[in-house]
Formats: sequence, structure tokens, C-alpha cells
Amino acid sequence: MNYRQAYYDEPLIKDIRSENSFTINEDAGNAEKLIDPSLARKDLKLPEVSEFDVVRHYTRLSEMNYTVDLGMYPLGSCTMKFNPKYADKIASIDGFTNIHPYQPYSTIQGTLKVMYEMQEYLKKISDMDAVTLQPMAGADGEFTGILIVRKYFEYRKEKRTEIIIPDSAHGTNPASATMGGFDVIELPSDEKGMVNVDALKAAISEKTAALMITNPNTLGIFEQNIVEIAKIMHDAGALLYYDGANLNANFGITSPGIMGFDIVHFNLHKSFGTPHGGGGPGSGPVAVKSFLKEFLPVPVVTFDGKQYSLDFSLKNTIGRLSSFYGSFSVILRAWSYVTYNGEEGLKNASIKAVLNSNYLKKKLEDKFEVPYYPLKKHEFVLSTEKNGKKALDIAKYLLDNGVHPPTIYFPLIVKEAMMIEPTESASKNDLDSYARIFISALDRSVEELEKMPENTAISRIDEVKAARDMKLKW
Amino acid sequence: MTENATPFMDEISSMLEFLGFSSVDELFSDIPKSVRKQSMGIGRGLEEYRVVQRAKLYASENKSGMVNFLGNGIYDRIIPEAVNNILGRSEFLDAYTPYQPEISQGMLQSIFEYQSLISDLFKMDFTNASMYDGYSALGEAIRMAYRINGKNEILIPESTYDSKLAVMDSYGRGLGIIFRKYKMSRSGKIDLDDLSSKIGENTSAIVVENPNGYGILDENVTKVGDIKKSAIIISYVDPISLGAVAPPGAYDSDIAVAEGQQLGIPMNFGGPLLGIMSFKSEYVRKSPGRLIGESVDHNGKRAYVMTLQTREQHIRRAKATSNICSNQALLTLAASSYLSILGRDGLKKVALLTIKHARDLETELKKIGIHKYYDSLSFSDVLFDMKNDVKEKLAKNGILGGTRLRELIKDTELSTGTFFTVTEKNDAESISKLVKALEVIS
Repeated sequence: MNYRQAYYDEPLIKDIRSENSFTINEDAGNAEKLIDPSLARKDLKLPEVSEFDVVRHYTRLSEMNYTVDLGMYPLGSCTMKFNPKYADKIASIDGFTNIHPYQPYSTIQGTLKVMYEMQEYLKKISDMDAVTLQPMAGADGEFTGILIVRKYFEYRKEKRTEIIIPDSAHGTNPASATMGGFDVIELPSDEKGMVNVDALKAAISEKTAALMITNPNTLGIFEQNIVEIAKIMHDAGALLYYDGANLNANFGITSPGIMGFDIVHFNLHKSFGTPHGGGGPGSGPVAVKSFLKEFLPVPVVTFDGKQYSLDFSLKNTIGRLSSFYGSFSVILRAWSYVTYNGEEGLKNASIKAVLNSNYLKKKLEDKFEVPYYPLKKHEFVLSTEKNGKKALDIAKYLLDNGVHPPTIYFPLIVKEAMMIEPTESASKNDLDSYARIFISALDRSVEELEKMPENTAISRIDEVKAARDMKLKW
Repeated sequence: MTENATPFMDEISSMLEFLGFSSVDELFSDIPKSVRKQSMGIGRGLEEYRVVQRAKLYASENKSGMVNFLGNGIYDRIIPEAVNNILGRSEFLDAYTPYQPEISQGMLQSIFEYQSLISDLFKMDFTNASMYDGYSALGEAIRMAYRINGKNEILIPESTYDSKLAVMDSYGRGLGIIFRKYKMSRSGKIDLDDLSSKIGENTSAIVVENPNGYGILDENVTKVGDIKKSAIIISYVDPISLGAVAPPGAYDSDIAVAEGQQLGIPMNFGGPLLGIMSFKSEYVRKSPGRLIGESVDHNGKRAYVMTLQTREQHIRRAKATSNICSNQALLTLAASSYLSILGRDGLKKVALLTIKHARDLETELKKIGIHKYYDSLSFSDVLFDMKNDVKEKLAKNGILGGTRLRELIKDTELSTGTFFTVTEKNDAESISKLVKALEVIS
């Protein structure tokens, strides 16, 4: 593939000068004189630029940015599937965007209905009993879940201070557990890349509050001992937490509820096709089994058969995580996604995602080591170590060929890891082409690879200089 | 099975054949039968136009086109159409976190510009990119203060809304943070004597608000630096007000946080929002969240990259400064384009018109016997003294407004406090509509 990304030597917005064109006609009168002199603004630097220059500036910058609309974006555990355009349309409807969070319920029945239906959708998809839509990202969902764990054991007057987390887990898991005041116990994986059940048994004590895992795990492997793991945790009086980052493998196939999880978070910006926005916004709803319902953050959306409203009365609520009720417009897009796909569509998405992952794995496994249990789910991890190549260098080669690389150097338990999640939004042709490019990297010497990329807007960046100079503003 | 849900069977067959599988079931042979799911019970999918139709129907079940006097955290402001246009570009909207900087310079430069614009607006050294919303940014600020001085008592104004305290409390729980309220004076401003008496050895940080929870612009925030002892000052500000009001950096704030929704983001029932956090440069390694730094590429070209990542969860795991991963990147772009389009004069105009409209509202309501609670300058949220609830009745008349202070602070002594909020949109015409409606119902 011949590829060349656009490049502009684009100045910073402050260095573009043209006539400001923003207009409000009303005169502010003597308003400035009303401000106490000690509180008056003395000087303010902001750009002096016309609207057309602002649009041109950001349009030029946009051309120096890859998007899932250009091609595969197979970052592992990130689920970069196609973001459907009907959801863009729906999220821009005035009747939804112009709603204030403190409006009377009688004026926001449509908004609350969307939220209520989304809560119901999530319950059915996950086989859980109650949902909060409030958390604003996956990690925020984890934090919510951790606070529920904490409050649950406080309520039961049990002093449990430890959360067990596998060494293959997403970094947010241990970070969230620590934020909630728990000690993290790291659990080694077994030779198949699954939770080591013996090590789990050895790690459990009366101090254990919960085990946080994702299933399939970050190696793309289904935790086959999940039923036993759930029993071990529950027999010990501890809880089982499901990190929903990898839910895209499971729609209609299995569910966290059936597997025995007590608390689940979803990543609507992953599994439910809402845009990632270059890093956010996300949405991380949390679902729990009925015995934890009273611990959810408030409010939750309720329906009495006539009217939708917000319920602030949960007895043992952990409180609040967000200024208001969560990322509504993200929730709305996810609602659109589920409404469009229905049961069959969701299940087919998971089937295709898993098929694509296994197909690409088989295309690559003759040339690259793909460690651990062979049957993968929605993603897989290969190692470039035995090829004598760095994962970073292969990633830069992929960039030069106009495709986005996988997640690299994660999970930490695989050396020179490349974690590949094609999602369902890739055709056989896409996968064949991706595999061809990937394998052709091996024809290049280390010296050649180290000079790449050359076809992107810029070449490799001096990251040490960035950290040393700490130039974080103009 | 609906049309849109049908997989491309020829393709699937040939892929399965390549894998040596006879059916898709073999892809899931590793999943124990006992945990296989039978059905979801959410029914068939809808065709695209029917999904849009249903969404429009639901939207129509909201009452729209009402005159808006609601605020207290979310504000109905003018958003230049160009902001929505920029945010709608797929290169920003449908991109991931810029893990591969060479192919993501657009997003990276735009975030660097956001960090710079907010740092200038707040007059602070650095700004991260970004926190979820204003309240969670405040929660993170409290955790950051703890990392800086290891103390666990936070002083907050009595005008702090319950929901804000609840979010702070969630963030502080794992650290054993304790919150103590300091009093406001008879003019609705910080009671400096009371605050001073509460600053002790365990005081980690003092939270000051400007405007405060009563909507008042409070010049006493500039005097807290004189009495703070070794406490950290965390300022919670309104970013629009900074077009005309002194920025947190001008009064010795160590950390400044804000809700950025007003900077070009629709109300959207309160989400997604934008948590702004700025701080003094000396605290950068204690700070949470993403930071973009400037560097050069191997050919010497200016380039941007995620930096100081050793603070972040994907590197530091349990020892990270925060668990934050997904953030509000796209909304930082809203803020940058909004601030660039308005410029200094535009932002100042919006801020001053807000103050003017607050004063106009006060004058007009006084004529019908409704008085302000405090005789101090309000910014957007104007607190009036009203015996009866009017919110529902006003809504029936096409007007939104009248949030009770006790909805926001349950135990407030100002039990008759009622808010009407203005922005640059609430001109004389909309104020006269409110006045007429209030005359009839109150």
C-alpha cells in the first residue's frame, strides 16, 4: 500500500493572527465597574483569530490524525469498531442536547426513557439485576465497583482490605483498587495464560474483599475455570468483579451474570460502538446482582408505569461519582447501537469479532510466536521477541504502510507484546491485507525499521526530551 | 434475523474453512456449557431509519424550546456552530488515544493547545488533559493535595452543594479524608475569621469557590493566601467568569479546577462534561491525568507526544497518581475552539453580559417584590428569597428555573433560597417573560 499522511507545518493557534469575528450585539453597559477592583481581570491572553482561521487550523490538524474511518485500528482491549453514523445523527438531536439536568421530570420524559431502556438493555445483556449509568469511563466504573465492595463489607462489619488482580490485568484495575483504599495482591497467570487457580486459593484469606478479572482476559483467552473461580471467591465470602473492557467477545454467547460475577462495568465507548474522541468521552455503567443494588450510586432512573423519574433513595448508596447523571449523549449513542442491532446483531458482532481475531492469528502464527492457549476470543497477543525485532519497530513499519498498529508492550507478561483486536469491523480482505503488511515487516532489517516511520506527518519523536523539557504549554 | 444483522456468509465460510472449523460454534468450544447464554430478550434490531425515528419520537417527549433560567453547574450558553463542526470531524471524533504519536499529531497538537489556552485563562503553570467533570476534578485535586502534604483534612465552604461534597467524599474515602465546612459571612462571602480559626496542623487544603455556591463573586478568595499557613489552596472557578474576573493564578491557588461545559459543550442533561485541572509546575509529578509535551522528531520538526506517563495507570498500575484512562479529549477540543473563536474580547463580553443580566434580573424581580438573598454581586446563579416552590408551575408556562437552594444543600439555613440563572442568552425579552410568569403564579 502506498501511503502518505498529510503534513502541515501548522502554527499554534496563538500564532495565527486575523480579525476576531465573534459577535454579540448587546452592550454590557457598566457591568465591568460592578466588579470589586481586587477581583478584576488585569490581563488576558487569548488568540486573536477569525472563525474561518479557527476552522482551517483544526481542519489541517485533523488531516494529521488517523481515524477508524480510514481503516483498521486494532488496538487490543480498546475495541475500535466502526462508529455508526446514525448514532452521530441521534446524538445531535436538539431535543436531547438542550436538556438541563435540573429540569422537572415532566419535561424530560424522553431523556429518562432512553436512560431507563439502556439500564434494561444492560441488565439483559449481562444477566445482572441493577444498573447505574453514572460512571463516566471504564476506570470510573471500576472505581464505582470498588467503592461498592468497600461499602458492602463495611455494612457487613467485615474488615477486608485486599483485592486480588491477575498480572495480565488492565492497569486501571490495580489503580482503581488502590484509589478505593485497598491493597492489591497480584496473581500470576498459569501456563495456559489463565488465572492460576492454585495461586488464587493460596492468595485468598479472610482479608480478601474481591477478585477483579476480565473474561476473556487480556491475552484474548477465555477463563475456562470461571465457575470454579466464582465458587472459590464466594465460598471465601468475597466478591467477583468483572472488567467489561473485553465484553465484545461475549454478546449473546455468555455473560458476566451467568459466570457468577457480582459487579460488572461496561465500556460503552468500546463494546457499544460510541466514538473514542481521541481519548474520550467514555461511559462506564456498572451493573450488580440484586444483593448489591442498595449500594449503587444515586440517582438511578425508575419507572412507575406512568412516569420516569430519578430515585435518590437507595439505602446504602456509596454516594456519587459525577456532577450529574453520567455521559448522557454517550449513553444515547449506545442505546441507538443496541436498538439498531438487537439481539441477533449483537451476537453476530461478537461472533465476527472472535472469528476475525482467530483468522488473523492463524495468518500470523507461522511467523510470530502467539503464546499460551491457542483458541482466542476477540483479541490475541503475539511476541516479536523471537523474530529479533522490537514490537515498537514493527508498529512503526505498520504506520508507514497506512494501517494502525496494535497495542504494544501490553500485557506485561508477554515480552515484545503486540495485542491485536481486529473487532467485527474488518472484512476478510482487510485482515488478509493487514497480515500481509505485518509479515512483510520481517523482510526489513532492524536498522531500516529503526528509521521508520517516514510516511506519517512526522518521524519518531524524542520522548526523552519531552519528559526532560516538560514543555506542557506554549 | 434482520437484514442489517446478517453476517456475510460466504466470507465467514471461507474464514472458518481456513481455521479448519466446521461451524462458528467451534470458536466458542472453550466456553463451558454451563455458562453459555441462551437469549438476551431484547428482541430484533430496527432498520437504521426506524432507530432515528424512534430517537426523534423520544426527543419529542422532552419539552423543548423553553426559556431557560436553570444553572448551578450546567449553563445554557451560545455555542458557535463552528465548534460542533470541528468536533464532528471523524479524524477527531473517531480516533483513539494518541498512543502512536507520529500518526496522531492533530489530536496531540490540539490537546497541547488546550493545555496552553487553559493555563493562560487560569494564569496557572500547567493544565492536564483532562478530568471527567468539575466535581471529579475537585475530587482528584483533593487526592493530589494529600499526595503533596500527607494531611487528611479538607476545609470547604458551607455553600458547597451536597452532590459536590458527595463526589469529593467518594474520591477521598480511600485516603480517610475528612471534610469540615467553614462559614460564609452575612454578605454571602468567605468568613475569613471563621476559616482562619479552622486551619490547623491537619489541614491539607482549603477549597475556595468563585463564584461560590450562592452564585456570588467573592473577592475574599484573594485574601485566603494571607491566612492559609501551610495549607494548599484549591480554587473552583467558573471559566467564563475569567473573561472579566481575576484568575485563580492571581490569588496564589496551588490547584485550580472547573467545570468546562460552558466552553462550547451542549448541556446534554449533564454529560459528557469537561473537568479542568490546572496547577503549579512544582506539583506536576503529583498530578493525575494525561499530559502532552512538546518535543521534536528525528528530523528536528516540532512534534507532540504524551509525556510523564510514569504517573499513569498503564505504567505505574497500583502506584499511579490516578486510575484515569479514558478522559474528555474531544471536549478539550470544544474548549479550545470555543476560546479561539471568542478570543479575549468575546469571552470578556460574554462574562460581562452575564453580570449585566444578573443585575437586570435582580432589578426586574425587585419590582414585583422578589428580593435577592445577599446584597453582593452575582455572576450567573442569582439567589432570591421566595417562600413558594415555583419550578413546576413555571415549567407549565414554558419557563425553566427556580431551583431551590435546599435541593442543592439539604440542611441549608436559607430555606427559602431560590435560584434563577442567567447567561448571555437571557436578555431583556427573556427576563420579561420570567417576570410575567412569576407575577401570575407566585
